[in-house]
Amino acid sequence: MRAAIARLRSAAWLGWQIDTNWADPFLFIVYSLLRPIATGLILAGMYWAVSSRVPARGMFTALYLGNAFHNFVTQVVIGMGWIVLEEREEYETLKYVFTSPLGLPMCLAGRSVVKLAIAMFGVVVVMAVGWFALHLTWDWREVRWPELSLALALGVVATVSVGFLVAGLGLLLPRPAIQINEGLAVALYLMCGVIFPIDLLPAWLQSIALALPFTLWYEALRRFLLGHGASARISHWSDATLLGALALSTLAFVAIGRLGYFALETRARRLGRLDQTTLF
Amino acid sequence: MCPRTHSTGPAIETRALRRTFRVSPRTQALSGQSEVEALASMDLRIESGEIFGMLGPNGAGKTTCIKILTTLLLPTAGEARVAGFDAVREPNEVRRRISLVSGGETSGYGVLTVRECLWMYSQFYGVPGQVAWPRVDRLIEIVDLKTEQHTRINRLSTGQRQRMNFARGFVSDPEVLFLDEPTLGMDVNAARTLRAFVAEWVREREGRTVLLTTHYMAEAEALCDRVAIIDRGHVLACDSTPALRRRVQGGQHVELEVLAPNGVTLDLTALTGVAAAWGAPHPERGTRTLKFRLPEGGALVEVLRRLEQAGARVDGIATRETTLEDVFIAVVGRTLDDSGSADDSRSGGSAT
Repeated sequence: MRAAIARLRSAAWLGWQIDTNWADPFLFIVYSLLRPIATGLILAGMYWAVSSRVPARGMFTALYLGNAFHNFVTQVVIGMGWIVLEEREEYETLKYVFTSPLGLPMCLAGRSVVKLAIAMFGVVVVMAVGWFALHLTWDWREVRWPELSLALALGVVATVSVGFLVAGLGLLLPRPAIQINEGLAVALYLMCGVIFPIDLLPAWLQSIALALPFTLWYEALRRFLLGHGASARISHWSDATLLGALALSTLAFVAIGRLGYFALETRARRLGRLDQTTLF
Repeated sequence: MCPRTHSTGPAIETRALRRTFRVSPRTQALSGQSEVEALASMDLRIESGEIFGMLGPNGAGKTTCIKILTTLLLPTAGEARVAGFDAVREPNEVRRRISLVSGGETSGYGVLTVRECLWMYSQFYGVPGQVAWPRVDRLIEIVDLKTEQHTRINRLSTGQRQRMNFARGFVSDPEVLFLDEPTLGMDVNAARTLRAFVAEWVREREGRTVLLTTHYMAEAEALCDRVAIIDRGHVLACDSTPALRRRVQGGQHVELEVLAPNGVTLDLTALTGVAAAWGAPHPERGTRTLKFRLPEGGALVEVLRRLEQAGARVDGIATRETTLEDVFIAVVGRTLDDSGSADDSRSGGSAT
């Protein structure tokens, strides 16, 4: 157990070096601040541009919040897909990680810890920009902390689990790995109620969206932080139903992520694709 | 099955190990084959404490074999065991005991320094810090990177990165070390130093085993207790280097430097027992080396006459002692650097 923790720590240390050490510290801090700030402002600009009038403040705050937390998905889910690409193509170290006792799953887990921390930092910055620059506020006394904490924890677990699935796809499909990462980022952005409520999706797509943990996660975070969600379809669900659905979806994706990752890794190992470099 | 030289139990064992790869539809249309056999029922037994060499041209199956043994690739059939564990069913046990170095690679996390990178790999293997740091420092000295130890990897030269990659293989002090063309592209002095280190490393530590694949015959001769000559997924010969050399002793090993017009065909089949193979061309001189073993009583003059008849000119003649390369030519039918012309000289009786 102690050895496993030491390995996880070394993988996290590696992730920290790679994710933060590519520029000098000042440039990195500027980038880390500007990126989420720009994301928040672009969203605000887009929203006001497409609305013929200033939108209902509550709805915009809900969507803004969803957008902030979507940072976890882009950083962790898509980031874990990029870890495979980096290890295999850029650093050409994947086979050495894979054949070491650390193993690729532990490396992915360790490096995803850093991505979670960076995502959390981004969420805080975006929320601060919303609060101070865009006056998107809420009543802190009304925040339901236990439910919010539980939802946050479930969402983080779901995020890492789906990340493993994306990493597995990257192992099996070296050539289209970039397209998979980018395509998935866009698909999740549009389908999970990040910038518009899922009620605007076609009915069949709504069913898929409701099966994804991120849709339920964003709704839960909105409800327990703001007091309301963004989707009319989910708004009549009780808190217990929403949390139960989020827990079930998370559990399902933990299983799918774990089984899927190992199935994809085994298939990649069978086909000899683990160290197949294609890009650089 | 290779003959055994020790009795302490195998560090590596393969039984009927087979691996095929499906080919792309385009290649299939050209070749008519739906799959390529990289390993064909390979039996190997490498004892603990051995430095074992695998010699073979490109596509012989050496790297495929190493990939299976290091758990990177699954075999199509057969069994592969490393340090007593099944590489397919017990990959985690295998990974705890092995390390892999692939030569000619410049892999590494560019943002880390040499020292950080080696330390990090030691942590991947769970080496305690008080053991890891002195080992890292010693390896840095051995691979002559002391002045670059605090330099980021992305600022190292190709040769320096290769040496760091070599050092990485030893940070865990593995039970079984796989060296896949470890000195490929290295300068002569660095390669010599690292070869000496490998020999010392195995000698000083009981139960350490090295499986080395190489293109360099001299490297295999200098380092390996036994050598397997592999071609197209088959082990063609496997023994100690003296024993392999004895197989082709008798007669003379001759190298002719031949200036031959394009399309010259030399038929040596008429000269019984002459196994000949063309070496790599020398573009600057426009010549190519023809290597063959002239049996006892064989007439060199007859070979020269036939070359002349074919329109070729001999610019130089050399005779020498039997080397591993002669064994390779005799067994495989071509030189190691002439893997592209496999079919031409496979019979051992003619060279084109």
